[in-house]
This record gives sequence, structure tokens and C-alpha cells, in this order.
Amino acid sequence: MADDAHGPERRVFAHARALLEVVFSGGLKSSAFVLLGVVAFSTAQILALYLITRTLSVYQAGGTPTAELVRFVVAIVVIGWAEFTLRTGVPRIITRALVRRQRRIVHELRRVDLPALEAIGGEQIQHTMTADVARVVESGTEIIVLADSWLTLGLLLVYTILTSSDPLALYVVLALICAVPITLAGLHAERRARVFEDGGDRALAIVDELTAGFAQVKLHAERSEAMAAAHAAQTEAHVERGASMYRASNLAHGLGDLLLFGVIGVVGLGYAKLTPDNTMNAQHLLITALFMFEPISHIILDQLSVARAGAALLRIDDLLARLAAAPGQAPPTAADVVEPKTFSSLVLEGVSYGYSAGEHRSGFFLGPVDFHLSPGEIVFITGANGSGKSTLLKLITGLYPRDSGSYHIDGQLVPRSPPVSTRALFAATLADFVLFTRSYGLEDVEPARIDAMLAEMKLDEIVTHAEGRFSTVELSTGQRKRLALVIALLRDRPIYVFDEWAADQDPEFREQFYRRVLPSLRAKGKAVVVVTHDDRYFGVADRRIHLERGGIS
Amino acid sequence: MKLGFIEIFDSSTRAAAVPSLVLAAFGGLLSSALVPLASLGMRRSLTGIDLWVVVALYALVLWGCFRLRTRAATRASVALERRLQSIERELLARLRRASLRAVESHPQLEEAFSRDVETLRYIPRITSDFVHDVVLLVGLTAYLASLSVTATVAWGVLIALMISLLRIAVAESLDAATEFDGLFAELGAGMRQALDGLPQLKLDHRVADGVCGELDATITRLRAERRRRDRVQAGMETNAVVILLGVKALVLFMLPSLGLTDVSVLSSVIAIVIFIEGPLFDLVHKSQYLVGAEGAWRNLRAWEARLPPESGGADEARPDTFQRIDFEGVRFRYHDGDSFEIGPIDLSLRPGEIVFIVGDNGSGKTTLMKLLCGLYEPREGALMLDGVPLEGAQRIRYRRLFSVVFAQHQLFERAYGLDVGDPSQVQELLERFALAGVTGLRGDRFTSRALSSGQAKRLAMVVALLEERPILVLDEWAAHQEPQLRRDFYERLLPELRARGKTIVAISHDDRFFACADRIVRLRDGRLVEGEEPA
Repeated sequence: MADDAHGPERRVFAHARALLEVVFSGGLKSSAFVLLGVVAFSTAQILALYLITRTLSVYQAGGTPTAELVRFVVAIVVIGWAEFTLRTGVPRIITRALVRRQRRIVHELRRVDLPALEAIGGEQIQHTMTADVARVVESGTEIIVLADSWLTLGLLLVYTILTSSDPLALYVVLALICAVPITLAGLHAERRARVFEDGGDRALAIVDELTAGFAQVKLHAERSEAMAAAHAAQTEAHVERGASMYRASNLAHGLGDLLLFGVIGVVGLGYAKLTPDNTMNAQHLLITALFMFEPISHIILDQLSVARAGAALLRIDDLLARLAAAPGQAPPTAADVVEPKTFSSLVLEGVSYGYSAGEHRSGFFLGPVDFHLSPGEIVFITGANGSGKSTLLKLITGLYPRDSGSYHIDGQLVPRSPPVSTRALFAATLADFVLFTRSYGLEDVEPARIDAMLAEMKLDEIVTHAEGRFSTVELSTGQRKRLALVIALLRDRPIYVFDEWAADQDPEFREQFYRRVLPSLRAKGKAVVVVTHDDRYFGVADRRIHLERGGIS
Repeated sequence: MKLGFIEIFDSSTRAAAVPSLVLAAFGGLLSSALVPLASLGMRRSLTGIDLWVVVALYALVLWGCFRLRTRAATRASVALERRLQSIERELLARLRRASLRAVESHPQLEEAFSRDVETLRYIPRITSDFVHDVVLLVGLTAYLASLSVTATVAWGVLIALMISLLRIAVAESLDAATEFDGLFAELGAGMRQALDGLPQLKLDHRVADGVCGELDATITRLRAERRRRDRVQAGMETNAVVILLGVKALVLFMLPSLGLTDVSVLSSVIAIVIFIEGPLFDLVHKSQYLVGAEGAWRNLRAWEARLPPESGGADEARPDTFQRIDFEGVRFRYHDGDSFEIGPIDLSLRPGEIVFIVGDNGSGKTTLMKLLCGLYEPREGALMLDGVPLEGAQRIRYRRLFSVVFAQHQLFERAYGLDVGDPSQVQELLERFALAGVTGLRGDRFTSRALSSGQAKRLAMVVALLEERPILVLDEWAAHQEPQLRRDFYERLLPELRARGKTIVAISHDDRFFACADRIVRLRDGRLVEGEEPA
């Protein structure tokens, strides 16, 4: 993470700031409400404390605390109101702000060009969209509790100074100030916890490697042993890191108890010693000290999860910033899109595309290549794995922007990031595709045609279609591809693109694909581009392009 | 609630955990003594006890609590951490003994390592806190009873009321939370689909409309559900806060009229009532955690059934040579009822041969290769080494004949288990495969792992050659290489290796180099195509 470069203290401030911005993102009125709620809650707490000691004094003097009773009821009502308002209101504000971010991410998925999204990586987007958002949203209550706790503690300090001129009251004040070292001890414990977690990740990384390369491990007993030994070493070190974390966190908690009970002891006993006649005042101070327990324990416990929520929020905003800076084009509204029904020519000249070696993928360069396509034509693209066939398909379909060269459709220059109407020329079954349960894009197709097509692909006994949904998409690889083919054929677009469609099919379907499906598309005047290894069917093509190491040979 | 996870305290952990739990109970008792002691000191004029005795006692108790927390609790946590790590190691050992098929069919295995172990990690702290809090509550209640029975009864009734109210609310909030979790999982699945299907979204705006519309709808429902859940929880928390304040009000304003007229006793009662809230709430939260820990423990145990060890133990003897390997009517399927089947296959392999396995994608080349290496067990038929069918431990020993570079080869962070006799040999190989300066081996670590797919394959080849095993199996090794390297591979490297007595089995699409093979095995739809000779 980039933010790890800064000191932990600076990070804490960045987190707090980001979270506060979200809490106060609901406009003036809701922000005022939040502030009012927090202040009312803390003030009423102090009022309750004051009323308890006051009532005891009234009893001591032999009176009846009627007014105090009324005020106490008021305090309860205020606390109840503030509690409910804050606990529903603040999560609502945070949720609203985060939902806005989620919607923006969804919007950016549509807007940003494919290579930029691939560079960011699906894993990261997925994680941010779900886990990070959840972490921030779930922190709503903790943020309120933390704010309440700090304010209550501060007010207690003021209250103690104001109501007691005794030297021992100074001790209470001192103790309140001591909350600072407890907080620091808590932060130290958090740092230890972070080291501990990172260490756990190291052990986990070995487990990940082992499962990912399990076949290699099974072949090589020494490798298996060595990995187990590396894992064991990590876990041993982890116990040490654990010991240091547990020491730190138990120290923070122990210090907290020591401090709080120390206050009680010194206040109660010391006061009794100094002023044997005035036990009442000592009792009041004791009760005041007890009121500190709750806020302090919340500060110790909740600041940790709030800090993590802050880190998650920064990650979300970082992703949004990266997405916003990425190239793309605004998604059209449905009315804007005119799906072209025909084309007359498609010409790529001297087109190249390259991505550099990065963290997640290897460097690759395609081109410069020339490619042309006319209606009623079947073109095969062949070549070894890694020769750039799929990349060429993505250039043709406009999914990848070319780095150089020109691309014309019907004599018109196609922009590097083509508009939706250009992409609407293509119906594709790419190598990695997703089958959606809903039959998106087939809204206008008659149900009877869908059923007939399912039957033609021998899927009718496995999958049915009703109310815009397929009954199942849990199919074998070959069946999935057949269903994808059904969808593509029904989409009825001028150009068809297939990436190794037949590779997972039985000979029967392969035969059907090459001998019936492709020629019938040609007969309808469609253009077809097929990436294939099936040399037996090369004769089906009108033209064959062989790619070798990113160029046409 | 069953507490099966108590098993986690095995004999060695118990030695640390039991004292820590006893000490936690003792700590609870001490903590419960602190407030009464302070009050006692204040009311000492009433009881006639020497204040210094009280002060000394108090200080002693306080110090004891601190030490217990920092020492005993830490020791127990560390002991359990050690135990958890050994559980993790056991799990890894179980994983290593399992068959490739078992691991391939359980992709969620890493969760056991991350999530379940993580949940169990808090057991020592929670259990010792739990014991501490229970004892503390009992002690404080006893003290409260000694001060005023009326107050204790009133307090008890109100707290019982509060807990029963909370239980109803907890059930409701669990219900809301389950609903919410379901929707949240739906959003995760929808996102995954959208991200995996990005090219489709980009090509077809109607797909994009549909998918993104669906995502937006889920987000909206999630927000509504979250609001409902937050209201339930806020109501619960508010109830708790108001009831606790109500308890204080009742004690404060009603008890005097019920006969508790001694103000110093009343103030002690109030002090106890305030003090007791924290541990009470903690107990409620911790009991929720214990339910989760039970689930995690059961998940972890379940892996024992899901990862049965492969038959046969470790057989360390490493075969240096073989005379022949034969497939006799070998059949294999991934799952029962799977339409894809390999075989029946009859095939033999002799030392010093170069054999190419060719065929379309999906024809079963990689599966055949894994059968050959003994990674998959045939469903029918037999794999014979030197005329003897492979069984049990022999299979594990048999695997040691092979060095493999897979199509999806994992480049490990370190060259685990690689015994490099001569460092100059490594350098020589790195140079041969155009990797010198790109990466290297320092100790058993690769100096760089940021490699292109072609470079990664070459590094995998270097490692495979350093393993010095009699049979080298390559799955489309040359596919990512440049023509020059590819030519070098087929025309120079393979014959060289054969000359050194290696047997080579290579999956290949490079029909131009098929002549480099001594023999070609062509697969079509899981079966051998007979009579294929090198072109």
C-alpha cells in the first residue's frame, strides 16, 4: 500500500480526515444534526453524573430530590434520542456516501476502456467494491462511539475541574490526561497487530503458492518438504510476533485498568485519609472516576477498527481517482444507440498494440499488421499460443485501442476508443466469457426462436429459457460455449468473432460449427472471423491469416 | 450451544491455559474486590478498620490484577498461538499428502487458513475474559447483596428484563443481518461476473445496461436492507442505554423510599451499578463470538474428511532409471457422470525417447500428461513401471522420475528443495536460456520474479534441468518463445538432452517441428489416433 510509506501518525490523520469528510458529507442540516447529537449525548452523560452526585447530597442534607428526578428523566430522554438519532443517522450518511462511490465504480466499469481496467485488475476492483466498502460502512457505529467517548472524556475533565476544588480532584484530572498514554499504548498494540497480520500473510503466501503449484509440489518430495519447512519457519516466527502483539495489547489493557482503579483507590482511600469527615465528597469523586471507564475502554477498542475503516476509505477513493483518470467514453443512453445492420468494409492498416511487462502480466507486442474484412467472408486467424491472435481480435472489435496505424470502417476512420455504435457491429464469443443467467440483449427476440436455437445446439434438454432468463448456466465447458454461440447468433449483428470456439466441442458439434453454422452466416451476408487450431477445417475459410510472434506471416 | 472448540486446548496448551483461566477467575475476584475496598476505605469510620490495611490490600490487589493481565493472559495467548500454528502446520501436512484431484476440487481451502484460524485466534483472550467477567459479576452481585438485598433484587429484575429484551432484539438483528449478508454475497457475485465479462460489457451495450442495472438494483436493495438492519441495531443499543440509565434512576430515586436510607451505602450501590455495566455488556458480546468460534472450529475439522491422504506413505528412495512405462487400458474422468473421458489408452515409453503429444485443445493432452506423471490415478486400467503395476507408495516414488514444466507453471518465490551442486551450472543454464542478467539464484531465492511469460517458462526449464531427473515432461513449453529460441529448443536442446540419456515427453502445437520427435502420439477426444508417424 502506498500509504505505508508515511509514518503511522500521519496515516492516522489522513484516515480521520477522510472519515470525517464522509460523516459530514450529508449537507449542512445533517451535519448540524450529527454535531448536535454528539454534543447532546455527551452533555447529557455529564448531566446524569452531576445529578447522581447532586441527589446523593440532597439525601445527605435530608431533602427530597424531586427536581433532580425530573432532570434525570430529561437526561435519559436526551441520551435516548441522541443515541437513536446518531446510530441511525450516521450510518445512513456513511451508507449514502459509500453507495454513491459504489455506483460511480459501476459507472466507471462501463466508461473506462478495457486495457485500463485490466491494468487495475479485477481482484482489486472486486475487493474495493465489497470488502473495503463494507468495512467503512460497518464502522459507522464505532465512529459515533469514538466521537462520543472523546467528547465525554473532555467534558468530564472540565466538569471535574469546575465542581471540585480539592487537590485530589487534580488527580482525576491527571488520570484523564493519562488517557493519552493509554491511547498511545493502544496505538502501539495496533502497530504490533499489523506486524502480526503481515507476518500471517507471509505464511499464507506460502500456502497460496503451494496450492497454486500443487502439481509441481506433488512431483517433488524435496520441494514439498522445503515449502513445509519454510512455512514452519514462518509460523514459528509468527508465534514470536504473536507474543509481542499479545504483550503490547495486554499491556495497554492492563495499563487502562491500573490507571482507572488507581484513580478510584487514590481518590477514595486518599480522600478518606486526608479528610476523614468528608466521605461524601470522596464518594462523588469515585462515581466520577467510574464514569470514565466506558469512554476509555471504547477509545482503546474502537480506534483500531476506525483506523482500518479509514485505510479502506482511502483505498476506495484511490481506486476512484485512478478510474476517473483512465481513458474511456461516457456510456450512451439507450436512445442514442443506433445498431448498424450492415457494413461494407473494415480495414486495419499498420496497426500495432503493445503492453509492457508489469506486475501482473508479461510484455507483449503485436503488429504492425494489416487486416481487412468484407461482408459474406470467412477469415481464419491461426498461429501458436502467444502469437497475438486474441489481441488481434480485441483490436478488430475495438476493445483495445491501437497504438499506431489506422482503422477504417466503411471508409470512416474509427477512433482509438470506438463509439458504442461501432462496437455494435460485432457479436463475439471470446476465449474467456461469462454466461449471464439473464439473456441480456435478446429482449426483442421471439421466445420460439430462442427455443429453436437451443434445440439446434442440443441444449434444449439441459437449458430452458423463460421470462428473460436461462434456467441454468451451470454447464460443462462445451455446453457453455454452445449456449454462448446461441446467444451470439440470436444477437444478429453484421460481424461474428469466435475465439477457439470449437476447441472444447465433440467432433459432431465441431463439424456442425464449421460446416453448417459458419457457411450459413456467410450466406446471410455476415462477415466471420475465427481464431482456430483446427487444421482439418482450414478449407472452410475464404482466407487464412497466420500470426507469428505478433506479426502476420 | 456446543463448545467443541474446547478440544483446541490439547495437553500442552492446557498446561498454559488452565492456570491462565484460574488466574483470570482470580483476577475477576480481585477486580470485584476493588470497588468494595475503596468504598470500605471511605466508610471506614463506620467499620473501624485501619485505613492503612485497606490501602495496602488495595494496592496489592491492583498490582496483582495488572500482573495477571500482562503475564498470565499473555502466556495463555502465546501458548494458544503456538497451538494454532501447529494446527496450521498439520493442515498443511494434510494438504501435502492429499491427491492433486482433492486439492483441485477444493478451491476454498485457503479460507481455512485465513478466516477460520483467524477466528480461533481470539479464543484464549475471549475465554479468559469471559471467565474474568463472570467471576467479577458474581463477586459484585454478592457485594451488592451484602449492602442491600432490596437493591440487588431490583437490579437483578431490571437486568433480567434488559437481557430478555436484548435477546429478542438480537434474534431480530441476526435475522436482518442474515438477509443483509445474502444480498452482500449477491453483490459480490454480480461484481465478479461483471469483471470477468468486461469484454462482453464493452461490446454489447445492452449487456452492459443489463449487468450494471442489476448491480445498481442490488446496491439499492442493499442500502434499504442496511437501513433496516441499522434501525434494528440502533433500537437495540438505545434500549440498552436507556434501560441502564433507568436502572440508575430507580436505584437512586426509589431505593430510599424502600428503606435504604444510609446515603453512603446508597452511593456505594450506585457506584457498583455503574461499574457493573461494562462487564455485563462484554459478556453479551463475547457469547456471540463464542458461537462464531464454534463454527470456525467445525470448518477446520471438516478438512480432515475433505482431504484424505493419498494411499501409501513416503518412500524416499529415488529411482534413477526406468526400463519402460506402460499404460494398459487406462481410463480417466474428472467427475462421475462427466461426458469428457480419457481412454482407454495403451501407450509405452522407453528411455531416451523424444515423444510429442499432439492434438486439439480439449483433446486430453494435459490430462494424459498428468496421468503419465502419476499425478492422477486411472479410474480403470493400470500404469506399469518396468512391467509392475503402480500401487500406493510406489506411485509417490514413481513421480520422482519426472521433471515437469506445466502450461500453467507456478513460479515459486524460492527454488524450494532444489539441490544445486555447482553454482556455475546454474549460471551456464541461465545464459543458455537468455536469462543471465534478467534473474538469478541467490541462495534458494530468485533475484527477480518479474518475468514475461516466455522468460518464466525458460526459468522453469532451468529449474527442471537442475533437478536432474530421467524424464522431462513439457506442456507447450515453446508456445511463448521467440522463433529463434523455439528452433533452438526443438533442434538443439531436445537432441542434446536425448544424448545425455533423458527421456522427453512434450505437448506441442508446432507442426513444423514434429520431425524432431522420435514418436508422435496424437490425441483426439481423449483417445489415441493410431498410426501416426513423424512427418
